[in-house]
Amino acid sequence: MGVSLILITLALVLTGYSARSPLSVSRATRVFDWTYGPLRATFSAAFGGIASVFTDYRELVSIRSEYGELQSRTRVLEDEREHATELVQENERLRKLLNATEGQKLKRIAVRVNGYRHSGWFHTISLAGGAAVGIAPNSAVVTHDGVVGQVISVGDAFSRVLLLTDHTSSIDALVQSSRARGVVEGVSEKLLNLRFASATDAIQVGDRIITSGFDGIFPPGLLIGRVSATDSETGVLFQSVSVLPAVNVNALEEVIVLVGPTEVNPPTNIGAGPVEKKSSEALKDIKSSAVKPADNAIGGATR
Amino acid sequence: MNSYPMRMYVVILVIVPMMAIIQAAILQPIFSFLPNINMVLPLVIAIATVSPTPFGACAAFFAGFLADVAVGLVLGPQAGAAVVVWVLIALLSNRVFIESKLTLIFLALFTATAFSLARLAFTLQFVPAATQSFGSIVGEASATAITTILIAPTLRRLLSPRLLESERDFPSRRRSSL
Repeated sequence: MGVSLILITLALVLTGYSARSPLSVSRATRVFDWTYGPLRATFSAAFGGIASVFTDYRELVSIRSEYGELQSRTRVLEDEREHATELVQENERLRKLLNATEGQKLKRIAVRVNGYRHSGWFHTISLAGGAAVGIAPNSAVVTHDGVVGQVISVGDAFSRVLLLTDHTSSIDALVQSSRARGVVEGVSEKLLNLRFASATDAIQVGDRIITSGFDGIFPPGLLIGRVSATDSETGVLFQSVSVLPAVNVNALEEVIVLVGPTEVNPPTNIGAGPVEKKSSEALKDIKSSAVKPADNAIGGATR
Repeated sequence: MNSYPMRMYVVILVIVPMMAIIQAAILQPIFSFLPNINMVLPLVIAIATVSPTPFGACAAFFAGFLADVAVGLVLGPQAGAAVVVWVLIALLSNRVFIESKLTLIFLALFTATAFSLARLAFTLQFVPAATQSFGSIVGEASATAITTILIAPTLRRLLSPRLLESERDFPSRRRSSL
């Protein structure tokens, strides 16, 4: 036991000394290297192949785990990219909406569409926003393409819009080029009818039909659609005019509700292309007032 | 001391550097992907069980010292740990049936853990930055224990004077048949 204690003490002294002077360690190591250096070279040549198999296997395993990690990261990035693309498109649509309603003195409320109801003659959509965000009944609903319809009922967190394609919808309208008057009524999802247009009015295929503003709902100058066909018979007071709606009512995502008393004085920019003047404050206003579907969902799409 | 033949001292003095060289020249550089396998411990166990004498303690110290030199960082921790383990085995060898395989397994696990911890304690006394994670200590102790279980019985038989004497007095069947 005495020898053991001496040896342990010696080991402690040796450890302390070598920790303080690495030079002594290097001298001792040099002697040992001189001894086992050739042996190591010999064994390395002999066992190198075996060792490389194990090393390669270990690297393969690590590469496999790294591959799995990269795959999951790629999935996350793809999700983010799709989300970003969606946001860019939404931003683009909101910009167009803003440009389209630039110049209107009405209050503009951007709202998401969260439901469709196209059954037979009835063509309505529901919006994810209602009285809580300032939407009132009989307000005009538009997009950057043109007229969508009018608000027919308002809840606290949702609204229902009667589309211009519904057979009960009627909008006082003008032919932009000839200023001929009439009333646009819905026929089907992709067809409107301009009624009460005088048979003597010169209406051509391709003419733009805009709102007149006399109905007290829609501001003047909003694009409704373009004339697709005319039928004027002799001896008849009115001619039959078919109109293609400017808005695709089946592909609505966001709309702007124009709230407030309408004025008869034109002009407006809806359907007339983008306007150079842009108001960043108004854009912020629209974005902040836009209601997200998750917050105001009313049961999802019903189409 | 007298019961231990001089030839065995020579055998020990030859085997100790051999084990250190095997550890330093083969296991560490070539099978570097394995946990740090310690060849000193099986040797220390074999020495301590067949020769619980001051010479055995010196041989354990020498084996540990060579292993330290082979590592080339700090001289002393493995030498000290080898002596600590040698003391533990020397104390236990008279109290347990060392020939039992189960005893060997428990002894290997116990001493491997004790060796790793003692070496770490020696090192940390003077190099506080040389901390080791719990996982690496367990891995190293496990690898050393397995190596000990595999090698220690062979080394013990090699170093046992009775075995050598019996071989000398009673030649093997092969030799007799010849």
